[in-house]
Amino acid sequence: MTDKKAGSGGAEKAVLDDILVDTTAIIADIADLDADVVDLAASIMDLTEAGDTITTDGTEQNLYINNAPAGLYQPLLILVDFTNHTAGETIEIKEYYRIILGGALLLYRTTVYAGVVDPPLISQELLANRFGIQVTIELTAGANRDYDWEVVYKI
Amino acid sequence: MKSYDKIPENEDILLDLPYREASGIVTLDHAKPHHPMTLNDPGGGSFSWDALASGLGVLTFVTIGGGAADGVYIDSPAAETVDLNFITDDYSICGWINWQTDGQSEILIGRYGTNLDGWDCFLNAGSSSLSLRHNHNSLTPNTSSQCFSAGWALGVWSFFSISRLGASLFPLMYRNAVALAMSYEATGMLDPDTCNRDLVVGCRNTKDANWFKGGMQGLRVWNRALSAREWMTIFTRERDFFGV
Repeated sequence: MTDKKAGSGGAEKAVLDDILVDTTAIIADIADLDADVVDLAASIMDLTEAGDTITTDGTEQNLYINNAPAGLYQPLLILVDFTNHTAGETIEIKEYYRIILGGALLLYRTTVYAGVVDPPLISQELLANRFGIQVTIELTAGANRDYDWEVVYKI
Repeated sequence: MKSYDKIPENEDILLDLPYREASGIVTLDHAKPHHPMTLNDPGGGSFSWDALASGLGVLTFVTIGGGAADGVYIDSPAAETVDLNFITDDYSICGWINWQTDGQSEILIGRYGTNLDGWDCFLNAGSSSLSLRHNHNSLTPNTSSQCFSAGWALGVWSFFSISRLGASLFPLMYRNAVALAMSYEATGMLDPDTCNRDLVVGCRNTKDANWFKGGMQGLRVWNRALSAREWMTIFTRERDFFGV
């Protein structure tokens, strides 16, 4: 009896070797594709949020600051809770933006809240920027109070 | 719309410190709990808000020695970090570090009392290892249990990550999303005792020693154990910023 395997083993082995090489290359390509998908997903802006509570002290204090963004990004709005703010308080909220690399943060807008704020939650839209943004709060009259705040942005 | 909370890896994230402020003594926690985080400079040390070549901001902890006021740290009050009081819970920790050494151990993050309660994570200068410690005075004389991994090189950016399953005695560590050989005590990692202390980043729980020295970015904590695949996804997404 002839051993078919013995006669054709060399050719079959060569084919199997080719398959193994191709599989390895395919696995490497899949890994590259996976990394590309992750990078692509990361390039889509994520809607993100941050916040805190600040107690005013009569000085100009940072609410939200991103002084050195990694790149162009889009702050959307800042919300501040004036529930603790009474008829005796006056608050100034200021927005600053840096518009050139290495430049100064420039005052863009001052909003004054004097007396009771009704409804107590205020919002201010923010500008897209690349080089820095700063939002401050300053008590200019009345007693120190706690203000909850929240910023929403895409990065 | 793609949002922070919809990113699968961010499920159950409790603390996220990307250090974007580049100014001041407050850094924002971008996870939902919004833990108030304050930068502290007791004396000779300083914080340096730096930027990588990629433009990503990092926070550098500059220390001048091992003395009681030689370093800097970040903390959050105990009352504001009750959700980080891990006992039997699953949890995970990660971040990017580029550390230096003065020869002393350096706390990365913890909410603990040494050999008393809570958990902490620290770098060992002599052995270039990363340790996770659970403190449990209630189990005296076994007042703490530790595990560690080796090979944490100085002066290079590394992505460290730790996954702890509450049901397991053997947490896992990864460097640049690659699982590491671990060393455990014979008992494994026993549950920490409940802890009512401030969260600290970069210093001993007493805030006067074991200063972290070097750069840090993206320090994060979860209330679940992330998988190896999730660590790889996070690492792959961020590595290019660090040139790793």
